[in-house]
Amino acid sequence: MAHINLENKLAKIIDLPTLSVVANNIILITQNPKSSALEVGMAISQDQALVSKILRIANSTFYGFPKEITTITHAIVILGFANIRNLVLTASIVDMFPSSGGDGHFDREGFWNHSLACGVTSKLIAKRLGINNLEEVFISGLLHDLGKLILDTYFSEDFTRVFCMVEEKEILIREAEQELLGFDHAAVGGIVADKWNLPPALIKVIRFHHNPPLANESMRMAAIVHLADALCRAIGMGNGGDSKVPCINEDSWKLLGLSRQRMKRLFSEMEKEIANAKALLALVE
Amino acid sequence: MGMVDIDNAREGMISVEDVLNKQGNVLLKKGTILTKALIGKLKSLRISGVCVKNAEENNNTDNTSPEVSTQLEELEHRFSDVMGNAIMEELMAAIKEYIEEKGGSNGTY
Repeated sequence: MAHINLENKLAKIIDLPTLSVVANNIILITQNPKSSALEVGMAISQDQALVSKILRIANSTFYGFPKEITTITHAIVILGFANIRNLVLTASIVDMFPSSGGDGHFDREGFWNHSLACGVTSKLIAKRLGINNLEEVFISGLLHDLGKLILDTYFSEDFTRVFCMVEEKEILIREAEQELLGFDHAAVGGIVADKWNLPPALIKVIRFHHNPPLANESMRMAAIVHLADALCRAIGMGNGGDSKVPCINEDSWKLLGLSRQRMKRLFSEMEKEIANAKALLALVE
Repeated sequence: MGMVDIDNAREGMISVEDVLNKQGNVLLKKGTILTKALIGKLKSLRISGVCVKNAEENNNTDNTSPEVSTQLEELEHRFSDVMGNAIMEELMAAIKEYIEEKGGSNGTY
């Protein structure tokens, strides 16, 4: 069967999703270390719905700040640029691809549950490894399967065929994508993330979460998300679109380096933290 | 504590409630340690069960609740294609232990 050329196919789609102008601005401004909180605040204020979402989230138990945050500038100062960027990104993408959407072949609710579990687990693993930018790790886990949302929305016929094959042959979704389309959701996600000017490390994780060594300087982050993805699938958290567990990359596994006892403790932490994070996703929607 | 089926009653179990016949006579006093002879006697009197300590653990011969069994079956299915890979086998063993220790108290991941 002739494979679809990914770049050509994506190029032909005129309405390939774009982030809103406001979200795009905020991402660019928050990536520039010379930007001020005031500039970021002005950009966010262009979208009042976003302002109230950010304040609601900043005041939620997820962050647990003791005093009420009442202005967007205060939220920016307290949460920091990276957190604000992540909130804006999450809110924009959840808006574009709500858990209630989709055409039925793809379990969107299960998808978001899996993504959230993966974000939380990535953060827990990073914490164990002593990594500082935990929020960056969380968003990487949350958005690692962005490509599946694009395929579901803009290549829905192809994606339906993928699902039929997954069910029929009981294989991984990625294997069916490669066999039918000649590319997988990681490649699609990488191209769209690049088009959206997302942070370079995030693009690398989305692109290489199934093959961390190819992520070069972002290999550690990609390995964490790769592990988190496999652990969540292994334990049955959410629905990634197939029912099998992919093999874990050996170097990534060594990075985790957990004894069986510690692994079981990690599973227990995952369940607890995921319950908390679900409340966050509800606030974003 | 709880009721254990007479067929699952074993030597050494401790009754936690008097066993009475239809007339209300005590056949087995609370706190009695069951013996083979006592269990045989109760069976001959058509007594269906005895309240013993930790009955939940004794009613299933393999000590596994249906919820845990389902979770373990699903786990095996998810890992069925990666058996033979040492890393994946170790991961599966850890999850299996986790599920068993948790005892199916929360299946909603």
